[in-house]
Amino acid sequence: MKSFEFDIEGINCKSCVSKIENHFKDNLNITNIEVSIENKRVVLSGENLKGLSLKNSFEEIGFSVTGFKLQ
Amino acid sequence: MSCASCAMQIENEVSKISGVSKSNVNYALKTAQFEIKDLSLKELINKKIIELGYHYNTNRDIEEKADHFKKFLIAITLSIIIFLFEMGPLKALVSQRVNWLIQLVLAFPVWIWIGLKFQKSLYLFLKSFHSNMNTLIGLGTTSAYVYSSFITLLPELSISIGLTQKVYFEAVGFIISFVFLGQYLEEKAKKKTKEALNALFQLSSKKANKLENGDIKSINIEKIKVGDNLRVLPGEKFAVDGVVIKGSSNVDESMITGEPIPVPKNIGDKVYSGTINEHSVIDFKAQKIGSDTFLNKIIAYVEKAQSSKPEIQKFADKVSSIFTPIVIFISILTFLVWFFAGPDPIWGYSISNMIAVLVIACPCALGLATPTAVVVATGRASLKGLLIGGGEVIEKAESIDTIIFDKTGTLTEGKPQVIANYDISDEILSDIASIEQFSEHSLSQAIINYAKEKNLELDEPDSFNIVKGKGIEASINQRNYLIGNNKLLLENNVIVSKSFEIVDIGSYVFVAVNNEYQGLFVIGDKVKEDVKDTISTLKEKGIQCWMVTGDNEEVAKNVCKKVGIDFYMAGVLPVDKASKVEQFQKEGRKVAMIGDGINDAPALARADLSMAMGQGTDVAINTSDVIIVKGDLNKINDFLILAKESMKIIRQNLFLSMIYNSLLIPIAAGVLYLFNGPLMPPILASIAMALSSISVVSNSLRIKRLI
Repeated sequence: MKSFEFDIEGINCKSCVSKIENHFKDNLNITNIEVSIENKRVVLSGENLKGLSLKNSFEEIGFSVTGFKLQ
Repeated sequence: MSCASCAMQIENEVSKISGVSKSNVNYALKTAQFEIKDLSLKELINKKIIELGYHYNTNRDIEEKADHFKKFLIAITLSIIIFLFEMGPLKALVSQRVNWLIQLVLAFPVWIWIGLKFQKSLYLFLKSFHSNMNTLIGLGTTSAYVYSSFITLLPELSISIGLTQKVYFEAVGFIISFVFLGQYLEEKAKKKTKEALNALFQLSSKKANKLENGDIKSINIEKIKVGDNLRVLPGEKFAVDGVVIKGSSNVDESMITGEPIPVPKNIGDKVYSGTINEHSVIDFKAQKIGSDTFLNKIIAYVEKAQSSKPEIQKFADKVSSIFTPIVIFISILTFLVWFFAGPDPIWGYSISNMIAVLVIACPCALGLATPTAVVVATGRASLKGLLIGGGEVIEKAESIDTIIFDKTGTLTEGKPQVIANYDISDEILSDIASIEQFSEHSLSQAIINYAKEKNLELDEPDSFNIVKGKGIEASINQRNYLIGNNKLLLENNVIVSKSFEIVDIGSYVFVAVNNEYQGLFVIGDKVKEDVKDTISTLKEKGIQCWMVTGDNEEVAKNVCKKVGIDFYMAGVLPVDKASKVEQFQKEGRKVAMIGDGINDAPALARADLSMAMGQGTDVAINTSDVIIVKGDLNKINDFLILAKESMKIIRQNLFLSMIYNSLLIPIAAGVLYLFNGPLMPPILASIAMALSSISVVSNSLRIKRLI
């Protein structure tokens, strides 16, 4: 089990949150998603996760990643 | 319009109409532009154009090429049948009168339908004494057809006048078929230049996000007013020109500067329409809209340059415009000599021999002289990685004396690469590249590629943070990295301990591991391998080479020194590049422009000859006459050699196409009669036609051996 903490640019409102949640819902490897509007931070946890593909995944829906940390 | 002088004629005639302030006819695009005082003049211009014998069509997109080939097939089939009736196995099938009647019917569509443009050109000549190659063909075929029909339809009358009883239907058929084929081939080799503007228009975005009282509204670009606040998301284009009021991002401005490395934009910086926001949201205030935007100025310039470019008169037309009056003079002279000095029946001899002169002087191979050479040359060139946009391009290339090169992407590879590595081991490099995978910065890709070239394994960092405007902080394999500019290192109290020489021009990327300076990369744009040799060969040929770039003085100087170019201009805007071309043209030089970017488009459109790199933007490619598919510059020399030699062959072809016919003119005029010889038998016209066509085609095939 791995957890990635992403700093995301452009999370401003509830609809951004649901956009992100919906986008990662279909990824079966992800077991938990936490999105924080104040910190503009998303924590994704699950098995076999790859930082790079998750980062690209954010960009697909128009968010840019300014930082990330493996917890 | 079949030649540049047709275009000139329309231009001159229309500009005589009062109220027309500007008239601009483009032969290549087959379009005309007129600036008029009010719309009522439109009708007048339309009428004038028709009066001059041309068609106009407001729907620009009608294509007729497939049609052309069908017409050729019809013409050649009919001609072969006529030939079989005249000289082949069908001759004895029916009586001579019926035979001739069949020929007359078969030749009719070839003469007036397929050969319409030749006959029109003849009509124009009779009205305005303006001649080109088509006139000569029209003159020969019409006199042949009318004369032969007269003999066929009114045998008694023609015999009583004493006209020589022979018909030229098969000559009419073959001449029109071959010239038609030539023009079809030439048309096919000609690249459509229209697309350049479309490609430019596609660069602008259609919609924008307007910020209004805290809401975001999607509006059409036409609705944007100066002072509007607009939001641009990552990946979107700026709709108009303006200034950043919120946010910061990197913006791809390659269309303006030609430089591939995106430019950082912060509050207060200017942004331009058509440029692309790379990765963060930016709000900006619209300052210039509509035709005032940078992109639209480029479009306007390209459009103007393309339609005001003087099209050179085709060599074949130049020759024809001299040859036609001579032929007419000789035919009239023949008539007069036979009329006043010839034997009875004077009418019969005078007319028959005059017609014989006109028919024999109609050089069918003339229509093949340029096209066959062009087809072989362009075919050969495309095998060698050069796409040539038609015959005029080859004609233009001959007189080039100045070549202007763009820098980025033309003389250089055009993409950032690691050009120097100071003290960074493969192990560290592998870490750095792993980290760089997470960065959107344009320099990252250069480092990743560099690591991949060394077959290094890439991993994932444990943490990663972008420090805006400075670089990256990251950790991987229990090492903490700082990768970025000198500011980033200074901020973290890392001192660059080792000295290095600044020899390479490019971006310096410093690396610190666990807060200790480790080494640095220089990332820059490499000069292409073969450039130096190409430039020196061009210089040997007496061609002056220039480099014109949007990049700064220092870089320009450095690149010029490396490749051996003596003259350069740095820090220029797209339209300034074109002005430089214009300035040279005013000095009487023939200028070739070689580039790859949207920013080169105005200069490419303006230049006498334009060449684009195959990897270049669609805009540059569509604006250019020649495309160097793989971007290898030594192809410029190949092209110039090919063009020069092809022109030599075209000249020989024109000579070959006319020599047989010219030699036969005295026979047609009846000189042999003076020595008790015969008048010209019609078979001679066919022999001359066959010989000249074969000579021309085989001569053209020699081009294959050139490059």
